[in-house]
Amino acid sequence: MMKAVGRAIGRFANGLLRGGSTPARLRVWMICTMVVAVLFGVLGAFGVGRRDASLGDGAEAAAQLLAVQDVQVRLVNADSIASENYLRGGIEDAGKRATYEAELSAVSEGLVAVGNRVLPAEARQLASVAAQLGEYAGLVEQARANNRQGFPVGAAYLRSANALSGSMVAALRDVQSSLRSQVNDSLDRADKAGSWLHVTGWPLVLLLLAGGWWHAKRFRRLVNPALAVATGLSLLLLLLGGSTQGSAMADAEAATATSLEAADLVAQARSAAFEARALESSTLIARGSNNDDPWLLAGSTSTAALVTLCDTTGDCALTDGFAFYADSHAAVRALDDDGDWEAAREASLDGLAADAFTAFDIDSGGSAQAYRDSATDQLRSATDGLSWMRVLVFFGGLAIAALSLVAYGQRLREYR
Amino acid sequence: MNLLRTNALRRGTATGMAIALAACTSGSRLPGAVEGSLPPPPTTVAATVFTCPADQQEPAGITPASYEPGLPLPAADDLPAGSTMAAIRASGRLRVGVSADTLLFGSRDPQSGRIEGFDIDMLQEVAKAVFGVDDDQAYSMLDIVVIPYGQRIPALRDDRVDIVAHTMTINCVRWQQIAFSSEYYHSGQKLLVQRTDGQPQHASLEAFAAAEATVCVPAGSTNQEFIQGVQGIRFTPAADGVDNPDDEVVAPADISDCLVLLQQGKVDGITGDDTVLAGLAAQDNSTVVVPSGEGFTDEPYGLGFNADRIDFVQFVNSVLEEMRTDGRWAEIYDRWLGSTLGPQEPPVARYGRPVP
Repeated sequence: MMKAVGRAIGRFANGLLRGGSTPARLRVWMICTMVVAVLFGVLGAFGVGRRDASLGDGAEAAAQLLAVQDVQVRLVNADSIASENYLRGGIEDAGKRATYEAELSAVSEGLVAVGNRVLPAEARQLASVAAQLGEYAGLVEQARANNRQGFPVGAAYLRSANALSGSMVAALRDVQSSLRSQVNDSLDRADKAGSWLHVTGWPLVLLLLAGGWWHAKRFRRLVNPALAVATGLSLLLLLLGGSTQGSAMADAEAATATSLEAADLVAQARSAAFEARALESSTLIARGSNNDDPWLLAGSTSTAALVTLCDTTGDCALTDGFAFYADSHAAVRALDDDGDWEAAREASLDGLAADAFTAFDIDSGGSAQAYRDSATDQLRSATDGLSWMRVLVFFGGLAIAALSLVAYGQRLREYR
Repeated sequence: MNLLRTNALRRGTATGMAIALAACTSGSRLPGAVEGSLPPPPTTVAATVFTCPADQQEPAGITPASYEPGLPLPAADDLPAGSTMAAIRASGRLRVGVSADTLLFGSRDPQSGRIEGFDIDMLQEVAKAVFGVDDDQAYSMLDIVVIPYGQRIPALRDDRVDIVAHTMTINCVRWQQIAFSSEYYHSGQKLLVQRTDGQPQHASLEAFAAAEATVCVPAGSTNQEFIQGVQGIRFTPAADGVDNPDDEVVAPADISDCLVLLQQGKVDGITGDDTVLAGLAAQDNSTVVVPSGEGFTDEPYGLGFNADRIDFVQFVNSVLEEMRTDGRWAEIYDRWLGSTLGPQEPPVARYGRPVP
């Protein structure tokens, strides 16, 4: 393909240099240069604008991804608090109860806010989750009311609530998967859009250089000032536009590979960790079941996300934090497995496991916020300069066309 | 010369295209979601399948016999040397396997944190006989291990507990794996239905079936086997959530999930052992256990022991024998079950199992 294009351009250039009378060839040179210059201005500006828009779309999809992850983390946090308070029985921890209500309220508001900004397919999924949220809250209240009366059926309501939370989380994960694809698609589109500037710019430079060379040879003048300025301007626009475009793309990709991926990983780790925390309570509530496989699965998801974070960013503090909680959880299970349920419950609610998880929650929450802010800022600032560069390329192309008109028009007037 | 020019142009064009292509090189993208994984499961040995030998099979409704009680019951400070009871007394605690979510039989009071119910009171009577303590101290002598249904027999065979009180039905197949006390409670399969104006919506199994009402039953239970043979009854919840008599039975794993479905109006009744249904009824005043008399099936409950602890079985049979006659059984029954299941006599014990 490239060879064929090269051959065609070569044949055309050869015709320019060899065929027809001088005024006719001057006219062909002039028209060709002007047409390519205008194409450079229009298509180059289009390409820069498209990269600007695509990177903007990517930043928006990334922002929604982070927002959906925030909703998910809040939902699983609420679920873990509901399970923890159920396990506590009797008088609940008022602070935890307030946090549960605040998290549910934030989930509700978050679903509405994100639902208004995503594509219709994702908006429908989020609306479905929002509809389930009311049912979830009702089940938790039933569990709570029965638990306060000492009725074991409360555990069945809590199980139903946990299961519903699980299906809501699954729907939110689907939305995130779709938003990740949208981020990547936007980057791919932005990547491709950058080629318009080069595909039109470099032929223009070659045409101007060849025209200048032919001009010098045919008219025995070393430099045509207008052509020289046009060539310089086109090179300047290409270099400036190329570097602005390249820098925007590189910034967006760097932000994706660092802060956005880190924010994504920390959010996944936090979500799985809260899920594990809820499962720790659930296993103790289903006294004697001793089935720790669901916890192990959630724990391994959190660990995998944090190990990847450690490998890609060097931020390994959270890995150690979760490992400490995992060890504390193992101690809780060992106590329960040995028949000392009361001690296991104490360790889970107010002992080592509770302290370890709180520390991980605080640390990972801070990291999540920092990575989220950084990713949002970097992705939004990546497009800085592309708007004015689009305008510059457009008017630059027109200016080059005008300079070509001046350069070849001068010679043509000499033949009248 | 012309050829040279052409080649030069070609090279220039190619260079320009190469630069353009370099600008199109794709970079970093956001990876997909992280997936966790479970460690590989340990290699399991195929479980032994136990069957009832032909010479031990009993007619329907007849409870397999237990060992003769070792009457008179020895005093706590005069337990036979080398006996299981003496070893337990020496250890200071009686290790018991119980349920913590069967209201009225074994469930945790969220206020006190104590597990309480009919089964727990039975175990306290055994603890009083072994340790010679009074009512107030009996609970503290129990080393309570909460075990799920599936762990009742393994916990005894692995010697993790000394005794299991967990609404466990005595049958011949189980006798091949563990030992049982004499029957300490006679249960039967019944229905739990809604009550309107003080009257049950369906007073009997026949009325329930005639109304083509929908029943909830825990998956894989013996209760499910019986109720599936009753014409007219429908099952829920169906996999697709649509109530359809042709649907495959998809039952929840736990009977308390059935109470959730009943309270949500998704089923018309729940079937299970009357003991368990009594616990559900105690959690919902608008429900009632039917019928009031005999159940559809016989479920004789026994306390479970390791098959080798025959002396302990005989000792506990003596304790149960005393409780039947001195009114303690009736007192415990009235405390937990009388108001829900109505008056009941202690079950008649069957002895005569030969000591191996």
